Amino acid sequence: MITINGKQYPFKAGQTVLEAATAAGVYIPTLCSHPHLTAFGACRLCLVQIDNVRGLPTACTIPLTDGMNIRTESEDIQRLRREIMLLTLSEHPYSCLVCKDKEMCVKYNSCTTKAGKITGCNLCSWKEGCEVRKVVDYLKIDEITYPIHYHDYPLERDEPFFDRDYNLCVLCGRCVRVCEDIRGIGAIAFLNRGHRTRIGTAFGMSNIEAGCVFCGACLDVCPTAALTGRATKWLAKTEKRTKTTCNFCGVGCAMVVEGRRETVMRAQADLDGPANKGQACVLGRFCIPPFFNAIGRLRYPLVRREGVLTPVSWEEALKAAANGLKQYDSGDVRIIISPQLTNETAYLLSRLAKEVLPGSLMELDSPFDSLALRTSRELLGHAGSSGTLTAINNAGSVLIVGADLRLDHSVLRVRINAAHRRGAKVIWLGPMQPGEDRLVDYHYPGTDYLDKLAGLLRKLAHDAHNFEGANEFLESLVAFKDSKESTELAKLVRGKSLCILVGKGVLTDHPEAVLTAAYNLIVLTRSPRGLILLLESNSQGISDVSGLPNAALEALPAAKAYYVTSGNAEVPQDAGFLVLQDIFESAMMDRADVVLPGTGMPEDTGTITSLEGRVQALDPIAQAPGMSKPDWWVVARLATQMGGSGFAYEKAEQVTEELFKATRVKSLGLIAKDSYALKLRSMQPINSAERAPSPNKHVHVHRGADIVYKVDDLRRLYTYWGVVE
Amino acid sequence: MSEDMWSEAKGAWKALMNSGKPVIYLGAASCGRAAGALVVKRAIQSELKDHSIDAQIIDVGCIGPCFMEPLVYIQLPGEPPVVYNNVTAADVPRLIQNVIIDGTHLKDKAVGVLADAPKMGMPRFFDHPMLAPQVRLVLRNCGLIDPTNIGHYLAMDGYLGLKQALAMTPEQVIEEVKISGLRGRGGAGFSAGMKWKLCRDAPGEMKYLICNADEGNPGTFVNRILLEGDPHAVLEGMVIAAYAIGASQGFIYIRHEYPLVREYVQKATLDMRQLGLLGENIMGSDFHFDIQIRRGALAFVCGEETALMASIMGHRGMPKPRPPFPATSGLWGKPTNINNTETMGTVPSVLRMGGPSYAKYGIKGSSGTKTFSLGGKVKNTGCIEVPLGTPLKTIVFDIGGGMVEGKTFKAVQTGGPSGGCIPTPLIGTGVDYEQLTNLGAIMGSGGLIVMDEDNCMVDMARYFLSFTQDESCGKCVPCRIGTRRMLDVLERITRGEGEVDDLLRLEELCETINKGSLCGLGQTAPNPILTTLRYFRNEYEAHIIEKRCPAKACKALMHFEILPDQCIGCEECKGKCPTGAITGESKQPHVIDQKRCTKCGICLQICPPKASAVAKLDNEAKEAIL
Amino acid sequence: MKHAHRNSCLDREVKNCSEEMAKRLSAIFLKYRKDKDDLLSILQDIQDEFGYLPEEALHLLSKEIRVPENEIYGVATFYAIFRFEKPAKHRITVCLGTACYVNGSSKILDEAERKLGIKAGQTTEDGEVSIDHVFCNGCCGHAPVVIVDNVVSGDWSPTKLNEAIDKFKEGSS
Repeated sequence: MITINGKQYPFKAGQTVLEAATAAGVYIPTLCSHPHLTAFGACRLCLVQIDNVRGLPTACTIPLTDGMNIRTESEDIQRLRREIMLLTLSEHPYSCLVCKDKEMCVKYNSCTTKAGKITGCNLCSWKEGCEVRKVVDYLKIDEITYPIHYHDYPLERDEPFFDRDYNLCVLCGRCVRVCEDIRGIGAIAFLNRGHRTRIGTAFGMSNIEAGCVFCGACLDVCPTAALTGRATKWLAKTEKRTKTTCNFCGVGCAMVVEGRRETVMRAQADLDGPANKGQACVLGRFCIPPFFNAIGRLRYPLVRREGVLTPVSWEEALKAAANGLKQYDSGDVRIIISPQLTNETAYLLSRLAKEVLPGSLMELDSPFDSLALRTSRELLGHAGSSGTLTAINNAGSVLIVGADLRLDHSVLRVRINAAHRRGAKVIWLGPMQPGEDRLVDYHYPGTDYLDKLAGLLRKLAHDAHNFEGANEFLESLVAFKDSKESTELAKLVRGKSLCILVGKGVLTDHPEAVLTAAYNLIVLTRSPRGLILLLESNSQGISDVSGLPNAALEALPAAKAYYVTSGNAEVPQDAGFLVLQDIFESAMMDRADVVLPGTGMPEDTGTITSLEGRVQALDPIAQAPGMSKPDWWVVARLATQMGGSGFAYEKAEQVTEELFKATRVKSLGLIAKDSYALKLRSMQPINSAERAPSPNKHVHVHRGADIVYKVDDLRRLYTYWGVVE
Repeated sequence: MSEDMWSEAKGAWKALMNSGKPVIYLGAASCGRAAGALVVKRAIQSELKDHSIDAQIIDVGCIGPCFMEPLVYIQLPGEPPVVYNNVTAADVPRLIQNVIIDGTHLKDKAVGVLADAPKMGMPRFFDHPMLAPQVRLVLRNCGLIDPTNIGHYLAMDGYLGLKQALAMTPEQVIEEVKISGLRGRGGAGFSAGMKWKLCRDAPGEMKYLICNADEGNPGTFVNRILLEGDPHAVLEGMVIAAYAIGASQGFIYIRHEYPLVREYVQKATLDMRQLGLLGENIMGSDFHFDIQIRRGALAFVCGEETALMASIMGHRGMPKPRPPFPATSGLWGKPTNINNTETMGTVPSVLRMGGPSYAKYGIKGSSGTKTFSLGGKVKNTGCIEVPLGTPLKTIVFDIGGGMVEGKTFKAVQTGGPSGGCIPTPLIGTGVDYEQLTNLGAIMGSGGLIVMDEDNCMVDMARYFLSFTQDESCGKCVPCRIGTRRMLDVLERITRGEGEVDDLLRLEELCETINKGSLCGLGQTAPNPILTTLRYFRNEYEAHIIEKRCPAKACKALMHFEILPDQCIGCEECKGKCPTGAITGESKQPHVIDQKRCTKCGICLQICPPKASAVAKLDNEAKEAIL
Repeated sequence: MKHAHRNSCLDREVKNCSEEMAKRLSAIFLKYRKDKDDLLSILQDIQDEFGYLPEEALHLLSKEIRVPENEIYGVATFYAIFRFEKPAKHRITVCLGTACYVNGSSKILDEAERKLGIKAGQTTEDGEVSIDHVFCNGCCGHAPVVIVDNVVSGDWSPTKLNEAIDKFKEGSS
């Protein structure tokens, strides 16, 4: 037992005094500590008195011991904290903090947050969150005797997404720690020493040059307005907030979104997010509002009349779509499902396909995801990754094949970084972007993924003898060659738990074989949970609710009528009838017969399933523009219009409830993986004439629109990175 | 590993003492070189060549009295060496002629003989007033042996301490050091034996040992003297310490300003490895230990243990809060023991003479001897070693020879920027860990700077604070910002802009910084201000209320004037004034144009003593603050 | 630190060092493990080799030991020894250690600053002379100490310093 301020609490080994106090609900002021970061001990506010410990140690650094008697407040401690806070304030523009007129000012100052230099709170855009104010209030500071020492650092306003004003910086070091320790990037560092200490980059280079990926982690931990996101700062204050899930990629980061009236204004990572644990990437953190609020959103149902797409009512549009599709045999109708659709929409589409258009085929609009889900179903018995993201954290070696973590699934880099720090070896197969190199211990740049993995399997083959199917497996390896790389790889991988992340880069090199090889690797290294497929958005959920994919994309026959949910899908020129349900205008509209405006992630209610099988909720903060309707509603009404029954849903929750009962999708939480016997699979001989499906050439297409071209700052960043022209 | 090592060395030493040709020892430590020792050496070499004299020249370390440098001792065959002081290149021909060629001893340049008793009509060198009261245990070899010759060290019973230690168990070694009462000589004064025990007891196979040779305290150079005079003493101490705590890898962190130390330590470790005293199977035992040299990079804060370790690990030298302590979690998370250079250098003596014998020196609670660097306004500057408990009075007035040029003692500063100024009434205090702390100062690593009436105590406080500000790592608020605010106040006071509340402000800030700072640098930064406030409050008050500097040192509060009655019109000052501020005809009283005067003090320095016409005067009294 | 923040990201300079510099740097890197632990020693060796820390050298070092340039720069700017520009032809360093200060060394520094028209830490415009200070060189017995072009000597005064500066000027004319 420990005692805090006279009350007893249970002792938990491994905690610091600050953690114990926080768990007990006792407030100790701090500016430099953060629950996710290593203790720093710089702000000196969390000083406490502990029996038998000399002086006033910092609660954030001192380990808890059983029987400790701690006082977190006393006249002496408060006085010292106050003095220290006054010193901190002497170098932070504190005007207004203790001003007697500040309440009057707040009432009438809504526009002054757009001023240039911040010389006081009334000009600062982040009053609500400022931790300095919180501490000042707690310490009841009502007079500051020091004049303000203003550092006069130049304001950094020209970088993408957020501004930096180091005149407000209190040197808590949280940004440096999160960037280096958690993200593994290190774009900023402490510079100089003593009174000249500041945060910055090498030789004053811009943050882009310094390697910043604009994930926003530093913003989220900064206790002052030194780092502020630009969008909300200059637009307006937000009015409401809710938790939702980012749908830009398959990681499934839990986000907290804020909105004003009908518009989404800001998104931040949810500290408690199970997959992302408070981290996000540039897309989720900064691109949600500019993307979904960009020009070009579809607003009205459109029907082509006399060659021209004309706005019509929903009734008319749905009738036109239903009639158009019904003209064809069901077998000639193709439904193309965008990976960004929610479980609810996908479920209803699959019901429509089965019940209303029996014989119609569905395809998932992602070549890699289709292939990976199909192949994994054969190998594992279910479509999807073989385990959860904790496989990365627990891995002794991490093998990344055909991925680009800077652009896609970036948050996974955080877990890989954590594993790396704990000693895991990180091996990268394929071309690597600058910046990734810190994380990677061994890099094999070629795109001959299959040769490498198969060669590795050959080396590990002697571990195979006590697995089922070993003989056929060993025989099938004869076709593959040994190499220097495979010897190295074998040394790195053998005897350790393995996690393989497979991304869409493998599409260029016999992807099914590569996936088979990856599967065999996790069998041989006894890491059954170690195969992670880097799927897009909700591909996993779509597969779970619909049973997609059924066949290889190339094997699908051409169809005559198309019901397409993404303007980026590949639809043959000679398609007879085309219904496009999307959120952005696209080139496909030139050919569409009916255009139905759907909703995007900030406007959706529903669920999506991440690449690790985690089902998470989408809760809307915004209203889709114009007459747009939720996608699930459109599908349901269309199905009804086409004669389907049992599609009369009024709320998304009803669909959710039904699909939980009817499909593989379980209630919020991870899918329990079906147990599968670990059986080695023979490696097929390679037919080099086999056509590899072309990889999706776009960087980030969210249904019809490429995110890069909707968000200026993102285009700037990607231009610098050489990803776009 | 053979006994022959020592007998061989002793034989060689004996041969050197009984050399058939002259042996010239040159005090060539950094201080000697700063005084011009290498120029003198070149002159000696040239002179010997000219006269075709076959003599041996040996560079030795500093024997202590820096004010006597350059020091040259000449040993003629059959005689003990005779020590000559303040030898310049110009003196060399005369020296060689008289001493070596003629065989007479240049009595006007000789200080004494290096022998057990007066000889040849000259006193014992070590009977010199500066040296006589000293007890040289740690410094026993400094200035007497060639620091680059391991044989000399062996001849002086070097590495017998290690031999003794390896014959004991590590626990026994720790016990011996505990009994000796040896406390950390870097300033903290923690029991060395206890510190070793904590590290020994910490769980883990891999342990590290660090010797802190950063010696950042301005005014302290004792570690340099030891490492440039007798590096093996420190290194032997390191090996013994490593054996005691179970470390397999050691580092010696040498500050950047000591390149000669690095060179000597480099040579020493090479020699040690060759003789099996470092590396695998030391002295044939199954104890392995090696030492890596690390260079400091001009950061005083890296003398602090956790900052030093950060530096070795390639980080910024920013300290970390303790606990955890280095003994349990230090370099790369492994148990690490850090000791000061002098502590390490004392260890071989402790092992050789035994803990109880060492404990006989000094006083209860502070046993043993301590080296000090004596500087400032005393006559006899240099490095000394006295038993702990020796009164400051003895050090300043006996060993130090008293004040220079008829100046009056005002204060002695101990412990550098973490220490304090001791005024005249308290000069009877003995130097040890406790007594000085009770006065608000600390013993620190051994710097003693003597001040006179020309030193302004407020300015000294400001000086120490500017040092702290320069060296603060910047991590924690009380030190980074608090000392800045204090410096703001002190700068105002010394500029004559002091306010009535300033003393209260200073005292409050001192408390905040002392209680709130993360590391020792910040925690002790207020000490110079607190001691000067305690003992020289009148000076602060004069600055603030009267806008007057009693020492007439603060430029804003004083000015130079040429007293017309005393000026002889020699035009010396006029010629040397760098801004041309002095006008006046030959044999006419000169005048200083106050607008051009930068108060550099050259005129005061230049004015012939018979005239002494330049005076320092207070500025016109401003309105006293009511 | 003098480097002003460069906001433009469009004209990124390619910070590649010359072949000769790369060769000299490899020789240094070979002495160490490819590890962050030796960072301070490597930086010191680079400065010993080139007289300062060239930006391109740190760029290459960053790749070599896999530490971000920003962190390397942060470590380098912490320690007062490191320079980021070529050193001056003549370097004057006045010791401001306690013993030297007490013996009036700050007056020597003041005079040097006045005479050359620059402050401590700066170099004259023609790159000839730089002034700096150090807080104790360890030769306190010979206070005041001034280091001129790496040679340490004692017993200086403002007069003596002016004479030394004049000698530089004579030497270069």
